Amino acid sequence: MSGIDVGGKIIYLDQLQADLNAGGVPTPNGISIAGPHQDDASPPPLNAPPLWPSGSLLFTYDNQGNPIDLPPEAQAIVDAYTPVTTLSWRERTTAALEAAQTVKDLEDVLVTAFNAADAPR
Amino acid sequence: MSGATTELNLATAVDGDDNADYLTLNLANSLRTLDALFNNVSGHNHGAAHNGGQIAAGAIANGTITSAMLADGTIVTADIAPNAVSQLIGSYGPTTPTFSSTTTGTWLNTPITVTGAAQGNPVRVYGFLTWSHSASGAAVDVGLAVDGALSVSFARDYAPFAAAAVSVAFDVLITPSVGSHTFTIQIYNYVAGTASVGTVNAFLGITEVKR
Repeated sequence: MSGIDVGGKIIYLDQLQADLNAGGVPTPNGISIAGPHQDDASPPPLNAPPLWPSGSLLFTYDNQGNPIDLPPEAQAIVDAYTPVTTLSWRERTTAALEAAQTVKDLEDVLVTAFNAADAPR
Repeated sequence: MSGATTELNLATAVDGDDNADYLTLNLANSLRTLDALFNNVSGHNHGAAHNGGQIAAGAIANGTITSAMLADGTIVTADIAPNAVSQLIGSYGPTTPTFSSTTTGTWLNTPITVTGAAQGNPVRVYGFLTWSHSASGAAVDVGLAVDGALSVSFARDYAPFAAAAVSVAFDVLITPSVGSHTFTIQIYNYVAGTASVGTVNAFLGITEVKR
């Protein structure tokens, strides 16, 4: 099994599975992503979106529970996948504020939060 | 007058000695001195001058020193060979694994795994991990697989809310067969959605308990 490398993408796995199934790639046994270990990783901000580290591999299982590759047509669906956040405006903004490293980051967070369609007015 | 030996001052005859005196007095006293050395209480003890040489290691038969001959509390760490009592087979982490799955109804390998050789003794498996689930109230079991087959399930928890981090610590004893084995932490996802292992550090230790 070689898997599909999804490193660097934000992926909500159940959303991606729905996209695969809608795109003609059935996944009756579910899908999984396994990423490389992150030594000395600091805890991510609370409610941070699931950003997969470089080298993370997507795969599925056969009926015996053995990991197997998805069919080749899954690659295009994975490439086209766009995450739809499940976080609320408050959760997204809180996570972004916690992750901000510079004043410019804070400014960007506030602008994004201000312009968000679901921002409470 | 007779001469004398160095260690025990036993009398030695010289030419001018009277035979009868030497035999009945000097030699008799020397024999008594020798005999006294073999008294089981007051005889020679190899521990001081004129008490014989130090007992060589080869003079004691293998397997004859018993526990009662050792003073209590005198065995120190340096007296015990490395890995004689317990031996670390291997460990994972502490590091942050990254694994998510939508698969339900079966045990799934996580990246938390150790491969090493067991010698047939009980093996202590211990560690910790954190899981989460995209569905509030989702149930997830955690267990240990040996060579891909579940050996023991040791936790079932329910996500208090979506994406909540649930921590599990474990410490179990199993007895794998002699040979190399792969010890892997598995999860069992009961509910549709995404179950994940990671977020913060996880650890797995495998130690063989020999005594």
